[in-house]
Amino acid sequence: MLAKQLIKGTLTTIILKLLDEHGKMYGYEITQHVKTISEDQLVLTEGALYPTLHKLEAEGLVRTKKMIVGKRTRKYYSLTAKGKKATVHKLAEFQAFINTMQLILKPKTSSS
Amino acid sequence: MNLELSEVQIAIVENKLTKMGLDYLPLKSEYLDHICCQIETELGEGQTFEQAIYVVFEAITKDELKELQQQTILFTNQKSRRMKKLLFVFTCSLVFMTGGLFFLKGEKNIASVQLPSPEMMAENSEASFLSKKNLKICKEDFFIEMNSKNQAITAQDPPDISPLNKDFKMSSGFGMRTHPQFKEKKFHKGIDFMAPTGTPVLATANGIIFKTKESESGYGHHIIIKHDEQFSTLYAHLKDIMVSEGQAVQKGAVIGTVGSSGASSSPHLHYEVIKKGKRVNPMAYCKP
Repeated sequence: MLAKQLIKGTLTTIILKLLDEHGKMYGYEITQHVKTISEDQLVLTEGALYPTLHKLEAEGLVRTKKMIVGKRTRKYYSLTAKGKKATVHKLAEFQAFINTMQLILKPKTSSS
Repeated sequence: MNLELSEVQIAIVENKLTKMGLDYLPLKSEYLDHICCQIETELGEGQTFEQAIYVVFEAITKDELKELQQQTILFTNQKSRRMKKLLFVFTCSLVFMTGGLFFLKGEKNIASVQLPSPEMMAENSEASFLSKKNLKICKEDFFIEMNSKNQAITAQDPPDISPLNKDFKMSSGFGMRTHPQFKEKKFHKGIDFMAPTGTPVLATANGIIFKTKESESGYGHHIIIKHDEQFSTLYAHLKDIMVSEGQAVQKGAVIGTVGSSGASSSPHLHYEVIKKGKRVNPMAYCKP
Protein backbone atom coordinates (compact mmCIF):
# COMPACT_ATOMS: atom_id res chain seq x y z
CA MET A 1 0.00 0.00 0.00
CA LEU A 2 1.22 3.46 -0.83
CA ALA A 3 2.15 5.92 1.89
CA LYS A 4 -0.71 7.94 3.29
CA GLN A 5 1.05 11.24 2.82
CA LEU A 6 1.51 10.62 -0.88
CA ILE A 7 -2.14 9.84 -1.40
CA LYS A 8 -3.38 12.79 0.59
CA GLY A 9 -2.33 15.43 -1.89
CA THR A 10 -3.68 13.57 -4.87
CA LEU A 11 -7.05 12.56 -3.49
CA THR A 12 -8.99 15.41 -5.06
CA THR A 13 -7.36 14.77 -8.42
CA ILE A 14 -8.20 11.08 -8.29
CA ILE A 15 -11.83 11.70 -7.41
CA LEU A 16 -12.32 14.40 -10.03
CA LYS A 17 -10.72 12.23 -12.70
CA LEU A 18 -12.93 9.26 -11.87
CA LEU A 19 -16.09 11.36 -11.91
CA ASP A 20 -15.01 12.84 -15.21
CA GLU A 21 -14.65 9.37 -16.70
CA HIS A 22 -17.74 7.77 -15.27
CA GLY A 23 -20.25 10.58 -15.16
CA LYS A 24 -21.93 9.78 -11.89
CA MET A 25 -20.64 7.66 -9.06
CA TYR A 26 -21.43 6.93 -5.42
CA GLY A 27 -18.97 6.70 -2.56
CA TYR A 28 -18.53 2.97 -2.34
CA GLU A 29 -18.23 2.72 -6.11
CA ILE A 30 -15.36 5.22 -6.04
CA THR A 31 -13.44 3.26 -3.41
CA GLN A 32 -13.88 0.02 -5.37
CA HIS A 33 -12.79 1.62 -8.62
CA VAL A 34 -9.68 3.06 -7.07
CA LYS A 35 -8.88 -0.30 -5.57
CA THR A 36 -9.32 -2.16 -8.85
CA ILE A 37 -7.55 0.32 -11.10
CA SER A 38 -4.58 0.64 -8.79
CA GLU A 39 -4.37 -3.15 -8.42
CA ASP A 40 -4.94 -2.91 -4.68
CA GLN A 41 -2.07 -0.47 -4.25
CA LEU A 42 -4.31 2.40 -3.30
CA VAL A 43 -6.97 1.98 -0.68
CA LEU A 44 -9.27 4.93 -0.30
CA THR A 45 -10.70 4.92 3.19
CA GLU A 46 -14.10 6.38 4.00
CA GLY A 47 -12.36 8.70 6.41
CA ALA A 48 -10.57 10.32 3.50
CA LEU A 49 -13.22 9.97 0.83
CA TYR A 50 -16.36 11.46 2.34
CA PRO A 51 -14.87 14.62 3.79
CA THR A 52 -13.28 15.28 0.39
CA LEU A 53 -16.53 14.65 -1.48
CA HIS A 54 -18.45 16.97 0.83
CA LYS A 55 -15.75 19.58 0.46
CA LEU A 56 -15.91 19.37 -3.33
CA GLU A 57 -19.65 19.78 -3.10
CA ALA A 58 -19.31 22.83 -0.87
CA GLU A 59 -16.85 24.29 -3.36
CA GLY A 60 -19.32 23.77 -6.17
CA LEU A 61 -17.11 21.34 -8.11
CA VAL A 62 -19.52 18.43 -7.81
CA ARG A 63 -23.27 18.16 -7.50
CA THR A 64 -25.19 15.38 -5.83
CA LYS A 65 -28.36 13.53 -6.61
CA LYS A 66 -30.12 11.14 -4.29
CA MET A 67 -31.71 8.09 -5.83
CA ILE A 68 -33.59 5.18 -4.38
CA VAL A 69 -31.73 1.99 -5.24
CA GLY A 70 -33.37 -1.18 -3.98
CA LYS A 71 -34.29 -0.39 -0.42
CA ARG A 72 -31.75 2.33 0.21
CA THR A 73 -31.06 5.91 -0.71
CA ARG A 74 -27.90 6.31 -2.70
CA LYS A 75 -26.10 9.60 -3.19
CA TYR A 76 -24.53 10.05 -6.61
CA TYR A 77 -21.83 12.59 -7.33
CA SER A 78 -21.16 14.19 -10.70
CA LEU A 79 -19.02 17.08 -11.94
CA THR A 80 -20.38 20.57 -12.43
CA ALA A 81 -19.09 22.76 -15.27
CA LYS A 82 -16.74 24.34 -12.75
CA GLY A 83 -15.67 20.87 -11.65
CA LYS A 84 -14.86 19.87 -15.23
CA LYS A 85 -12.61 22.88 -15.59
CA ALA A 86 -10.96 22.14 -12.27
CA THR A 87 -10.34 18.55 -13.37
CA VAL A 88 -8.48 19.63 -16.49
CA HIS A 89 -6.43 22.03 -14.43
CA LYS A 90 -5.70 19.52 -11.67
CA LEU A 91 -4.65 16.82 -14.11
CA ALA A 92 -2.33 19.17 -15.96
CA GLU A 93 -0.87 20.29 -12.67
CA PHE A 94 -0.35 16.72 -11.54
CA GLN A 95 1.20 15.67 -14.85
CA ALA A 96 3.63 18.55 -14.55
CA PHE A 97 4.45 17.38 -11.04
CA ILE A 98 5.11 13.83 -12.26
CA ASN A 99 7.38 15.14 -14.98
CA THR A 100 9.33 17.15 -12.46
CA MET A 101 9.61 14.21 -10.11
CA GLN A 102 10.89 12.09 -12.95
CA LEU A 103 13.58 14.63 -13.70
CA ILE A 104 14.64 14.41 -10.10
CA LEU A 105 14.46 10.66 -9.76
CA LYS A 106 15.75 9.66 -13.17
CA PRO A 107 19.19 8.11 -12.84
CA LYS A 108 21.80 10.29 -14.47
CA THR A 109 22.87 8.86 -17.83
CA SER A 110 26.56 9.33 -18.09
CA SER A 111 27.28 11.54 -21.05
CA SER A 112 30.83 10.39 -21.48
CA MET B 1 -28.85 -16.49 -2.53
CA ASN B 2 -30.13 -12.96 -2.26
CA LEU B 3 -27.21 -10.56 -2.12
CA GLU B 4 -29.29 -7.50 -1.42
CA LEU B 5 -29.91 -6.55 2.18
CA SER B 6 -33.48 -6.64 3.43
CA GLU B 7 -35.11 -3.72 5.20
CA VAL B 8 -34.65 -5.45 8.53
CA GLN B 9 -30.97 -6.00 7.86
CA ILE B 10 -30.50 -2.38 6.80
CA ALA B 11 -32.23 -1.32 10.00
CA ILE B 12 -29.78 -3.43 12.01
CA VAL B 13 -26.83 -1.76 10.32
CA GLU B 14 -28.32 1.71 10.78
CA ASN B 15 -28.92 1.01 14.44
CA LYS B 16 -25.31 -0.03 14.88
CA LEU B 17 -24.06 3.15 13.22
CA THR B 18 -26.31 5.32 15.36
CA LYS B 19 -25.01 3.61 18.46
CA MET B 20 -21.48 4.38 17.33
CA GLY B 21 -22.34 8.06 17.31
CA LEU B 22 -23.08 8.78 13.65
CA ASP B 23 -25.69 11.50 13.80
CA TYR B 24 -24.76 14.03 11.13
CA LEU B 25 -27.65 13.53 8.74
CA PRO B 26 -26.07 14.59 5.42
CA LEU B 27 -23.48 11.89 5.99
CA LYS B 28 -25.60 9.25 7.66
CA SER B 29 -27.69 7.84 4.80
CA GLU B 30 -24.68 7.98 2.53
CA TYR B 31 -22.45 6.16 4.97
CA LEU B 32 -25.19 3.64 5.68
CA ASP B 33 -25.29 2.88 1.96
CA HIS B 34 -21.51 2.52 1.94
CA ILE B 35 -21.49 0.04 4.80
CA CYS B 36 -24.39 -1.90 3.29
CA CYS B 37 -22.46 -2.15 0.03
CA GLN B 38 -19.49 -3.54 1.94
CA ILE B 39 -21.69 -6.09 3.66
CA GLU B 40 -23.24 -7.10 0.34
CA THR B 41 -19.77 -7.62 -1.10
CA GLU B 42 -18.98 -9.94 1.80
CA LEU B 43 -22.25 -11.78 1.18
CA GLY B 44 -21.18 -12.19 -2.43
CA GLU B 45 -18.11 -13.98 -1.21
CA GLY B 46 -20.26 -16.55 0.53
CA GLN B 47 -20.43 -15.16 4.06
CA THR B 48 -23.60 -15.15 6.12
CA PHE B 49 -25.11 -11.82 7.13
CA GLU B 50 -23.85 -12.25 10.69
CA GLN B 51 -20.32 -12.98 9.53
CA ALA B 52 -20.39 -10.11 7.04
CA ILE B 53 -21.61 -7.56 9.56
CA TYR B 54 -18.94 -8.72 11.98
CA VAL B 55 -16.14 -8.40 9.44
CA VAL B 56 -17.23 -4.98 8.22
CA PHE B 57 -17.77 -3.46 11.65
CA GLU B 58 -14.54 -4.85 12.96
CA ALA B 59 -12.75 -2.53 10.57
CA ILE B 60 -14.48 0.62 11.85
CA THR B 61 -13.63 2.16 15.18
CA LYS B 62 -15.79 4.63 17.03
CA ASP B 63 -12.98 7.18 16.92
CA GLU B 64 -12.54 6.90 13.19
CA LEU B 65 -16.23 7.36 12.67
CA LYS B 66 -16.21 10.41 14.91
CA GLU B 67 -13.24 11.81 13.06
CA LEU B 68 -14.88 11.17 9.71
CA GLN B 69 -17.99 12.95 10.86
CA GLN B 70 -16.11 15.89 12.31
CA GLN B 71 -14.04 16.31 9.16
CA THR B 72 -17.10 16.19 6.94
CA ILE B 73 -18.88 18.82 9.00
CA LEU B 74 -15.82 21.04 8.92
CA PHE B 75 -15.45 20.87 5.18
CA THR B 76 -19.11 21.51 4.57
CA ASN B 77 -19.04 24.57 6.75
CA GLN B 78 -16.47 26.11 4.52
CA LYS B 79 -19.15 27.15 2.09
CA SER B 80 -19.82 30.29 4.08
CA ARG B 81 -16.10 30.82 4.38
CA ARG B 82 -15.86 31.25 0.63
CA MET B 83 -18.09 34.29 0.81
CA LYS B 84 -15.94 35.69 3.58
CA LYS B 85 -12.89 35.05 1.44
CA LEU B 86 -14.36 37.03 -1.44
CA LEU B 87 -15.08 39.86 0.93
CA PHE B 88 -11.54 39.66 2.20
CA VAL B 89 -10.02 39.80 -1.26
CA PHE B 90 -12.20 42.80 -2.01
CA THR B 91 -11.05 44.55 1.15
CA CYS B 92 -7.46 43.74 0.34
CA SER B 93 -7.68 45.21 -3.14
CA LEU B 94 -9.12 48.35 -1.60
CA VAL B 95 -6.17 48.51 0.74
CA PHE B 96 -3.82 48.01 -2.17
CA MET B 97 -5.38 50.89 -4.01
CA THR B 98 -4.75 53.19 -1.10
CA GLY B 99 -1.06 52.97 -1.83
CA GLY B 100 0.29 49.90 -0.13
CA LEU B 101 -0.53 51.26 3.31
CA PHE B 102 -1.10 47.66 4.24
CA PHE B 103 2.55 46.79 4.04
CA LEU B 104 3.72 49.95 5.74
CA LYS B 105 1.44 49.11 8.58
CA GLY B 106 2.70 45.57 8.56
CA GLU B 107 6.28 46.82 8.90
CA LYS B 108 5.28 49.00 11.79
CA ASN B 109 3.70 46.06 13.50
CA ILE B 110 6.86 44.10 13.17
CA ALA B 111 8.88 46.85 14.75
CA SER B 112 6.56 47.15 17.70
CA VAL B 113 6.32 43.46 18.43
CA GLN B 114 8.46 42.42 21.34
CA LEU B 115 9.39 38.92 22.24
CA PRO B 116 7.77 38.03 25.52
CA SER B 117 10.20 37.16 28.27
CA PRO B 118 10.76 33.41 28.02
CA GLU B 119 9.37 31.20 30.71
CA MET B 120 11.88 28.42 30.41
CA MET B 121 14.61 27.26 28.12
CA ALA B 122 12.46 24.89 26.14
CA GLU B 123 9.67 27.38 25.80
CA ASN B 124 12.17 30.02 24.88
CA SER B 125 13.06 28.49 21.54
CA GLU B 126 9.40 27.82 21.04
CA ALA B 127 8.50 31.43 21.76
CA SER B 128 10.98 32.93 19.36
CA PHE B 129 9.96 30.42 16.76
CA LEU B 130 6.33 31.34 17.21
CA SER B 131 6.98 35.05 17.17
CA LYS B 132 9.14 34.78 14.08
CA LYS B 133 6.46 32.81 12.35
CA ASN B 134 3.89 35.35 13.39
CA LEU B 135 5.95 38.14 11.97
CA LYS B 136 6.33 36.35 8.73
CA ILE B 137 2.64 35.90 8.51
CA CYS B 138 1.95 39.56 9.20
CA LYS B 139 3.84 40.37 6.07
CA GLU B 140 2.79 37.52 3.91
CA ASP B 141 -0.77 37.08 4.95
CA PHE B 142 -1.95 38.67 1.82
CA PHE B 143 -0.18 36.14 -0.35
CA ILE B 144 -1.17 33.25 1.82
CA GLU B 145 -4.73 34.34 1.22
CA MET B 146 -4.26 34.25 -2.50
CA ASN B 147 -2.41 30.97 -2.60
CA SER B 148 -4.29 28.62 -0.37
CA LYS B 149 -7.75 27.55 -1.26
CA ASN B 150 -10.29 27.26 1.51
CA GLN B 151 -7.92 28.55 4.06
CA ALA B 152 -8.76 32.18 3.95
CA ILE B 153 -7.91 33.83 7.20
CA THR B 154 -10.62 36.37 7.60
CA ALA B 155 -11.32 38.64 10.51
CA GLN B 156 -12.92 36.70 13.31
CA ASP B 157 -14.43 37.54 16.62
CA PRO B 158 -11.75 37.31 19.28
CA PRO B 159 -11.64 34.12 21.34
CA ASP B 160 -14.33 34.40 23.97
CA ILE B 161 -14.98 30.98 25.46
CA SER B 162 -13.12 28.76 27.87
CA PRO B 163 -11.02 26.07 26.14
CA LEU B 164 -12.56 23.51 28.48
CA ASN B 165 -16.18 22.61 28.49
CA LYS B 166 -16.72 22.64 32.22
CA ASP B 167 -15.35 24.92 34.87
CA PHE B 168 -12.03 23.62 36.01
CA LYS B 169 -9.87 25.07 38.72
CA MET B 170 -7.35 27.55 37.48
CA SER B 171 -4.09 26.50 39.06
CA SER B 172 -1.87 29.24 37.75
CA GLY B 173 -2.73 32.66 36.43
CA PHE B 174 -1.18 35.01 33.95
CA GLY B 175 1.85 37.02 35.03
CA MET B 176 4.89 36.62 37.28
CA ARG B 177 5.08 33.44 39.31
CA THR B 178 7.53 30.93 40.67
CA HIS B 179 7.73 28.12 38.18
CA PRO B 180 6.50 24.89 39.82
CA GLN B 181 9.23 22.75 38.26
CA PHE B 182 12.13 25.11 37.85
CA LYS B 183 11.50 27.04 41.11
CA GLU B 184 12.49 30.31 39.49
CA LYS B 185 10.56 33.52 39.12
CA LYS B 186 9.31 33.63 35.58
CA PHE B 187 6.62 35.27 33.60
CA HIS B 188 3.74 32.88 33.03
CA LYS B 189 2.52 33.51 29.53
CA GLY B 190 -0.85 31.86 29.86
CA ILE B 191 -3.21 30.28 32.34
CA ASP B 192 -3.33 26.72 33.59
CA PHE B 193 -6.51 24.74 34.17
CA MET B 194 -6.33 21.63 36.33
CA ALA B 195 -8.34 18.97 34.51
CA PRO B 196 -8.29 15.20 34.28
CA THR B 197 -6.39 13.52 31.44
CA GLY B 198 -8.61 13.09 28.41
CA THR B 199 -10.83 16.14 29.02
CA PRO B 200 -11.74 17.54 25.59
CA VAL B 201 -10.01 20.81 24.64
CA LEU B 202 -12.02 23.20 22.50
CA ALA B 203 -11.05 25.82 19.93
CA THR B 204 -11.96 29.16 21.48
CA ALA B 205 -12.76 30.85 18.16
CA ASN B 206 -12.97 29.94 14.47
CA GLY B 207 -9.60 29.62 12.81
CA ILE B 208 -7.00 27.60 10.96
CA ILE B 209 -4.70 25.12 12.68
CA PHE B 210 -1.40 26.92 12.34
CA LYS B 211 0.80 24.38 14.04
CA THR B 212 0.64 21.04 15.78
CA LYS B 213 3.69 19.60 17.44
CA GLU B 214 4.36 16.52 19.56
CA SER B 215 7.28 17.81 21.54
CA GLU B 216 8.49 15.95 24.61
CA SER B 217 9.75 19.08 26.34
CA GLY B 218 8.45 22.61 26.92
CA TYR B 219 4.91 22.91 25.66
CA GLY B 220 4.71 19.16 25.04
CA HIS B 221 2.05 18.16 22.54
CA HIS B 222 0.59 21.48 21.55
CA ILE B 223 -1.60 23.23 19.03
CA ILE B 224 -1.60 26.79 17.77
CA ILE B 225 -4.69 28.13 16.08
CA LYS B 226 -4.52 31.27 14.00
CA HIS B 227 -7.87 33.00 14.21
CA ASP B 228 -7.22 36.12 12.16
CA GLU B 229 -4.66 38.86 11.64
CA GLN B 230 -4.61 39.65 15.33
CA PHE B 231 -5.37 36.61 17.38
CA SER B 232 -3.79 33.21 17.86
CA THR B 233 -4.32 30.79 20.71
CA LEU B 234 -2.06 28.08 22.04
CA TYR B 235 -3.03 24.88 23.84
CA ALA B 236 -0.20 23.01 25.54
CA HIS B 237 0.66 19.80 27.43
CA LEU B 238 -2.02 17.88 25.52
CA LYS B 239 -2.41 14.13 25.45
CA ASP B 240 -3.97 13.81 22.01
CA ILE B 241 -3.92 16.18 19.08
CA MET B 242 -7.03 15.63 17.02
CA VAL B 243 -6.45 18.16 14.23
CA SER B 244 -3.79 18.70 11.60
CA GLU B 245 -2.02 21.75 10.30
CA GLY B 246 -3.96 23.75 7.78
CA GLN B 247 -7.30 22.41 8.93
CA ALA B 248 -10.13 24.86 9.53
CA VAL B 249 -11.83 24.63 12.90
CA GLN B 250 -15.00 26.14 14.22
CA LYS B 251 -15.36 27.69 17.64
CA GLY B 252 -16.15 24.99 20.17
CA ALA B 253 -14.74 22.14 18.06
CA VAL B 254 -12.76 19.52 19.97
CA ILE B 255 -9.13 19.83 18.91
CA GLY B 256 -7.42 17.60 21.46
CA THR B 257 -7.44 16.29 25.01
CA VAL B 258 -5.86 17.38 28.27
CA GLY B 259 -2.64 15.62 29.18
CA SER B 260 0.65 16.18 30.91
CA SER B 261 3.15 16.12 28.04
CA GLY B 262 6.27 18.29 28.00
CA ALA B 263 7.36 20.29 31.04
CA SER B 264 4.37 19.41 33.20
CA SER B 265 4.03 17.57 36.48
CA SER B 266 0.30 16.82 36.47
CA PRO B 267 -2.50 16.81 33.89
CA HIS B 268 -3.49 20.37 33.04
CA LEU B 269 -4.16 22.63 30.10
CA HIS B 270 -1.86 25.58 29.53
CA TYR B 271 -3.74 28.11 27.44
CA GLU B 272 -2.34 31.25 25.83
CA VAL B 273 -3.93 34.04 23.88
CA ILE B 274 -1.57 35.83 21.53
CA LYS B 275 -2.62 39.19 20.21
CA LYS B 276 -0.41 40.63 17.50
CA GLY B 277 2.48 38.45 18.64
CA LYS B 278 2.19 39.44 22.31
CA ARG B 279 0.87 37.25 25.06
CA VAL B 280 -2.20 38.76 26.69
CA ASN B 281 -4.15 37.65 29.74
CA PRO B 282 -6.45 34.82 28.55
CA MET B 283 -8.87 35.53 31.40
CA ALA B 284 -9.95 38.61 29.50
CA TYR B 285 -10.98 36.30 26.66
CA CYS B 286 -12.84 33.64 28.62
CA LYS B 287 -16.43 34.55 29.13
CA PRO B 288 -17.90 32.69 32.09
